[in-house]
Amino acid sequence: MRYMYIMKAQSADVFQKGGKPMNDDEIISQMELSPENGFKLLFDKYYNYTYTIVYHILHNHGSQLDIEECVSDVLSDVMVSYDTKHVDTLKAYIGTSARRRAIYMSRLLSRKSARHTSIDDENFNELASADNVEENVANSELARQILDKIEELGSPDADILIQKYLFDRNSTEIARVLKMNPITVRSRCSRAVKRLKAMLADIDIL
Amino acid sequence: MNENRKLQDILHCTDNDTIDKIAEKYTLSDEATSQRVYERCVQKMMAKKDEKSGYTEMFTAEKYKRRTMLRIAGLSAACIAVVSGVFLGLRNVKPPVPERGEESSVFFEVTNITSIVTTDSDAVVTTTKANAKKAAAGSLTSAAEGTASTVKTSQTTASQKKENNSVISSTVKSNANPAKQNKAADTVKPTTQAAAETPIVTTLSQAEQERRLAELDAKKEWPSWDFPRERQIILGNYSADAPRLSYEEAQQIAARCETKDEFKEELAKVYPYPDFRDAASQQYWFDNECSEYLEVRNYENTKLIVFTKRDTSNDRINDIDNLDWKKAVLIAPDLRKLEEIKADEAKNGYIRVYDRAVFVNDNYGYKPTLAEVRCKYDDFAELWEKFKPINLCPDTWTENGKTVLTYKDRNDEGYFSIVPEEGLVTYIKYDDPDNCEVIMQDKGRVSAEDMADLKEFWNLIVSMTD
Repeated sequence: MRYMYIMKAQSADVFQKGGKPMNDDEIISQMELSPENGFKLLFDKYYNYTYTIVYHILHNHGSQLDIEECVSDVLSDVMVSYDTKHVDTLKAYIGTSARRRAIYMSRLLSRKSARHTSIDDENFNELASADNVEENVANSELARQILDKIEELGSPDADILIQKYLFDRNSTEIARVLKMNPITVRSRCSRAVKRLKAMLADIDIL
Repeated sequence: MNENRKLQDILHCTDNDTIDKIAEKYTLSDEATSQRVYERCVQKMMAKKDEKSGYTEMFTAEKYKRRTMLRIAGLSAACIAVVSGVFLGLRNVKPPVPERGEESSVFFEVTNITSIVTTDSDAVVTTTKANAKKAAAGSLTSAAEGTASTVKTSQTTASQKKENNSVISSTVKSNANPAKQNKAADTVKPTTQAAAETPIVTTLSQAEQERRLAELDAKKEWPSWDFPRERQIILGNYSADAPRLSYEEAQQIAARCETKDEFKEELAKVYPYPDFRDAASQQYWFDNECSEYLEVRNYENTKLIVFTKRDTSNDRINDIDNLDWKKAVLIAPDLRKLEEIKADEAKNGYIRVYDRAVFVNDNYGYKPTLAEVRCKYDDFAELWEKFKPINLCPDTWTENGKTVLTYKDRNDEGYFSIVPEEGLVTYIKYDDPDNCEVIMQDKGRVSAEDMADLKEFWNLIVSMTD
């Protein structure tokens, strides 16, 4: 039953009675006073945040289970190791932990499929990083613009597009997350993409 | 498709600030995943806490000293109590006096028979028997791991003991004549046999134990996996011969319980160590080969308990676990309501009961292919028979007051949508959701009665879960 709490918490428990969101200080004080409650609050507030960061780094390297494992590693580590007198904010701490852990895990996962090349190999000098920094920077800016436009579509279309294109989910999975009918998801997605195309054409991105 | 891919690639280059914004604004994970991750977090925290407290004990000298002192004090007190008890006891002991005209009775006074240890090249077998009368009068047979070692305890001489290469620690006092002892042996024999039937806990040698534990750990494909029964057997805490749960017994236990939690508790009382456990469920195997087993799921919305049969030759039912759901039983949230259904399917089939009207579980759904659906069924009644929810596990919801069932395509390219009320079957591709393909629409072929029955049954299931 306690798990039901988790999802409800997205809309209810992270908010205090007056409708004000639970802030980090209150979560930290709960973590000290009652670790169980503290962790629930921490999970409610930062699960999405951690999941997004981890997914963003690991989606090319690991499976869904790897991502979930990494998220649970981060949150349990924070709960066990976070010094409540820490100078950094909780959010920054979790963000940094999530990035480091995800990068570490991606290296571990990549190592399994890594190709080994000898330093003495005559082609060694020709090897280059798979990352194209210039393209990535350009794409990053482009992504920001597209995401702004997606946001303008409003809910639930924006949610559907984010789920589909950022998290690579199919309609059934999106329907599950958003608690919608998959058929509705598909039709809305199709229409939202058309609208997005028009919006992007207006700003000369397409 | 290429456009989709390109858009995905661009969005995956999002910088950290944008990712932070997205994380704050959007719900990104479904309930089941959240539950799973939450549970993993709790498990990990518990493990880390244990580890931490272990270190504290190890390195905090003060605590350690205090504990040692307490232990010494406790042991001293226990020793004093035992010694004084023995003295008091000896003062009050009176030897039994036989009545006139009767032969002296057989009287064994036994203080202790602790263990019989046979040194074996493969394993060390330790057998503990509390009843020394039985040991003194008869013989005990212990068999473990295919190495049978028979040890006679009562009349065995010291030289025989050496020959058996056994260490027997026993104190048996007898004041009876040999003839009476033989008689006594006859009378005690049946109880000795009964004792021999009781499960024997086997203790393995250290090396063997470590090897088997390592083997067991290697079987774990996921950190949360565990095989408690086998582990306890290896550790010598549980007998390998301990009886297993049977299908009938599980049914009986289920009949006594009204809720899943109650059922779980009752089951744990009788069978404390499930054969398999992970973050989501426990399994009680009906035999060593796990050809059939009971699975109790912890947090699934359906509150399912299923009996199931493992059949690896059948891969169409479930592409993850290869489960055959033919023999499956559900214990509903309210068993009495389930009993009211009086449906054979409740006992022999697989019924999915939802806590909410909409629940998606792809793992256990039957995934047909388009070809299979097109070629095999040209009659909606026949197809409905194949797809109806009592046999399979579709995703369901209600749209415009009508129940809609969907089944994922096995190739994960699309899904089938079935609207029983309309006799409508469509196939929709993920890539092209706007163009759904109508496979069948023959409302007239299903009789009104059939449909009413199905609807009634369906409504009953839905009402149980509301």
